[in-house]
Amino acid sequence: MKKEIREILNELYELDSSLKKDEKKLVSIIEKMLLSKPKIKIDDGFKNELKQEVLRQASKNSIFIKKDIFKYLWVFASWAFALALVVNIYPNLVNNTKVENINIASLRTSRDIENTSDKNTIINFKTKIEKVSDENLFWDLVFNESEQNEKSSWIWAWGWIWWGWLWIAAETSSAKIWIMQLDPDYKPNLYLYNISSDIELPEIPEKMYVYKKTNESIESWDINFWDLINTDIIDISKLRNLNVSNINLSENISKWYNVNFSFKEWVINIFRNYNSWPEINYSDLKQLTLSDIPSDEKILWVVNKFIEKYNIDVSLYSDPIVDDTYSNRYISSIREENLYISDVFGVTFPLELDWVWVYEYYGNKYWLNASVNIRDMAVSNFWVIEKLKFQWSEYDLETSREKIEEIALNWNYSNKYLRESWNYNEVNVDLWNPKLVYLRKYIYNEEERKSEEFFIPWILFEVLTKQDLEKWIYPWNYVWVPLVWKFVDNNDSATIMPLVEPRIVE
Amino acid sequence: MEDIKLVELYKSWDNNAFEIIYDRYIDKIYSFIFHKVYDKTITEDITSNTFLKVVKSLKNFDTTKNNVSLQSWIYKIAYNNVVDFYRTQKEELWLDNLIDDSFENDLWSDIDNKDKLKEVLTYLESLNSEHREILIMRIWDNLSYREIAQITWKTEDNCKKIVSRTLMKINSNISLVLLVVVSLYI
Repeated sequence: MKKEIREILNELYELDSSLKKDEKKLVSIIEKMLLSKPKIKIDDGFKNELKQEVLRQASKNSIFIKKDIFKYLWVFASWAFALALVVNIYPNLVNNTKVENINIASLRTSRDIENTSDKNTIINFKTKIEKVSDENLFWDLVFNESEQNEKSSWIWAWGWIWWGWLWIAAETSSAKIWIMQLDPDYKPNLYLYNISSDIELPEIPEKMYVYKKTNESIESWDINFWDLINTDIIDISKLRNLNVSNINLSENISKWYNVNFSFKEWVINIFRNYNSWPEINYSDLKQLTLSDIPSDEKILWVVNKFIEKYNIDVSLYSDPIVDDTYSNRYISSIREENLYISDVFGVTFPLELDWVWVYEYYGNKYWLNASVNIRDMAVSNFWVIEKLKFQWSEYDLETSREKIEEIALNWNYSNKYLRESWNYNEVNVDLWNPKLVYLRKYIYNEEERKSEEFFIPWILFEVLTKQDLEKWIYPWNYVWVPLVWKFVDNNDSATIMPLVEPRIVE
Repeated sequence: MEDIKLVELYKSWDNNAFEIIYDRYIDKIYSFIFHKVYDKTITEDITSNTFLKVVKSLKNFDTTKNNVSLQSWIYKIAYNNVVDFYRTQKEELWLDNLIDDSFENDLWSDIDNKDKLKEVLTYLESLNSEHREILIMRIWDNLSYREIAQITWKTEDNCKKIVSRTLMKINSNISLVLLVVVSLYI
């Protein structure tokens, strides 16, 4: 018997010795598989061409100098010295004219809310609510006749009611309350969502690392720029232990970018200066339509050009993807005349930790981000270019599939707002494609009184609605289930257990 | 030279080290991908993407973390690229159709095994795709269970169980086919 076959069999027998009784059959199958193994002929031309290409990339990487913020220290020192000279010399070149002091207090204005004659103020909120009965929630709401023309408020309020957060909408800017009556013949389409899933969960390991992002301490900096600065306006020397926490640089050309270096956060943000771009009068601009949205390839081309131009190192991240959250909403929206298409589309360079994707709560992959303004197809922002540093610690994961499925299948607030007397449609919602991901989450550290950024294993289910909804879409695209219970806090509890039904204020 | 040493040399800007890595893995990765897609053009595309990703990310590869070998890491990248490819496919790819097309492309160096391969693929097609892949990784790609576990994010034991159950299932499928054939002749 071939050594290879013996090896495979021994591995299997270690697991289950009862397989020995079927040894002949197993040998036959394995032998057949080994004999029929395709002997692939790789094209030499392709092999050599690819080799040249990857070696060229390797050379390119070696020329590019890895970003190390400390290397820019001397550049900053030069700038600061130059700034010190200007600040010191300039006042002496200008006439010493004294400026009269302004009484700052007299510039302050105040708004006397209590003197308003409008009776429909927030203060009377409770009184209005008492008139609404519990049973006829949607039908007894009275629309203020004098405001019938304000359609936008009507739609907005209806949205609030559907979600069940408020029985009545408040129009806060004019401190009025709208009580709305719907057309009695109008029956809203309410939906009861039955969530199901027969998808096999991915294999969940017993333990995984949880990551916390840490920042470099700026106390390690031993530079005191303010020694170089001497000014009559303020005595800088009275400020103690000063360090540079943030530097903003701007290009001195007609269309500029600003670059902000945050040394505390270890973040570099690049954003364009709107003062210098052509001034945009938004009311003159043509409203964008669906056909104006460029293809993902075009958006990515713009971002890649930007990266090439500024030699931004994105090697830590995976290939960029265009954020399709808005696109999906546009496609599913039914009110095309009110559709607002954003000028700016987001692009993400996602990150993997231990080969597991990092996600944000909204269901999009996370890390490096860029924005592209689709009106002029230019990068308007490129942010979170940072030096990544983590601490990690291993935690036990929730491996009970029953528990995970129970949480996923009960993920649904809206059912709790529905009453048996109401007419509603049942919608079957399928959960599919469960993925083990790292969820980016801020957790408040009570001891140190600050929020810290963690990356915690969760299971993410995608939502697939089987029925076409004529007017409303299922409000969530994703369902989340935690795997490390220690990191579940009050912000998550609403998503793990349904919200408590709101009660009328007495 | 060991993989760890090559990685260290590459991180010290020695590009010759990457050339050795490329020569060491190109054939294996090409075969690994081909066993999943059975199309020359697609295999070349995915192989190119894989090595371009490897060259971009190798400087950040940490051999000490989670005891992941360079081989497993490269295979993992290739595996993910294949998964991404399948996500973009609207229609399911039927193995026997692909095999016929690739034979026309004269990709196979050993035509005699074509029938044997078709027979084996008939068994494999009836299996769950994930189980089929793990079986192929063990028997055709000769990867260890540890490496397979790292690539597919499963435990080693689980991978062994999948292979043993899959082989037993193939065995029972063969027996069933024989039974049907025999019964037709009775």
